[in-house]
Amino acid sequence: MFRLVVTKSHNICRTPVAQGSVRHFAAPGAKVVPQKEDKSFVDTDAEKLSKHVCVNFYVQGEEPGPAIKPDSEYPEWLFKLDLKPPQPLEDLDPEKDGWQYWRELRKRQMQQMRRLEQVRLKRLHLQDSPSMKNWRRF
Amino acid sequence: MATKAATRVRKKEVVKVVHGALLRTHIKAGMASAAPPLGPQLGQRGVNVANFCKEFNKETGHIKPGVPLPTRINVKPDRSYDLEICSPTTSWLLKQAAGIRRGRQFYGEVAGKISVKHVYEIALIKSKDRALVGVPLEEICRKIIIQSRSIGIEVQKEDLDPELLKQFLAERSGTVAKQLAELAEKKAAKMLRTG
Repeated sequence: MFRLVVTKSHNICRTPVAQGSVRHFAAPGAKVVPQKEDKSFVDTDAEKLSKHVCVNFYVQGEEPGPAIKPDSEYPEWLFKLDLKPPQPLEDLDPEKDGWQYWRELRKRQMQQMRRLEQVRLKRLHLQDSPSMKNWRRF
Repeated sequence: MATKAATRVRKKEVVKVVHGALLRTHIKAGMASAAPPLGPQLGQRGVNVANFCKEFNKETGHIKPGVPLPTRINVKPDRSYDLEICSPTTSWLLKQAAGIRRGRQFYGEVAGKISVKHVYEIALIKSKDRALVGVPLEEICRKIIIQSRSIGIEVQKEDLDPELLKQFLAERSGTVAKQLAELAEKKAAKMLRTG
């Protein structure tokens, strides 16, 4: 059974779905005008941010978002996640960290190659000079 | 120069597309329009732009307008398309959870604070995507943490303390205002120089 309710202020059509929840559809005439986003806005409501995860993006959903539950409700691995920033090459060890060390090493080598390429292109006139002959051996 | 103009203008061969073209964009919920950049992107692939916008806005009617949604549009050779609307962008979700609108401006700056529980809830939302169907939640959480690092949002294991958070947010709003003022100044100076 469909029940169409058109409210004057919001101009939306309501169509009930099987489970009993209501889906809002914007009427064909209604157009969402893009507004200039305020980038300087910082939400100062610390209570709300620490008690709820304010990520609700549905028009009709729990405001302001799912509540934060006590530790017991979350899985074990969540509190064992690695939150450290990526370690530089000097702190890594090939024996202990294995592939991560080699990955960092490769990144470092690529950075060095990139710097050398820049220098090479900057000093193009010196390319055939004897001092630049072995530049790839650095 | 006459020769330069002659060499630059070359006849572009019309390439006939045979395979289905995939279009990956972010479209704000309820705000699909025929204006660039979306209009030309769809037009080039031969999709009826007006129809697409109507359908997209209808599909996202239940989502708050203005939320950026990554969409994958698979255009088939007969000009019909498969529309796949994913959950909102992770960066938007992270910024909402931290209460900020702008990320960090330089390396090492802390733009916002979040706890692992926030990350878990965001991962739950993201896990409903078709692309992340078999992926364990732990892996999704790890990816979100890496992204939060790039935005400048600090993730902490303990729950957020409201007093400390309030202090941090007050400081942060001051810093953001200063940064934006500096940028506006630079822009004004540039306009004065060239104009």
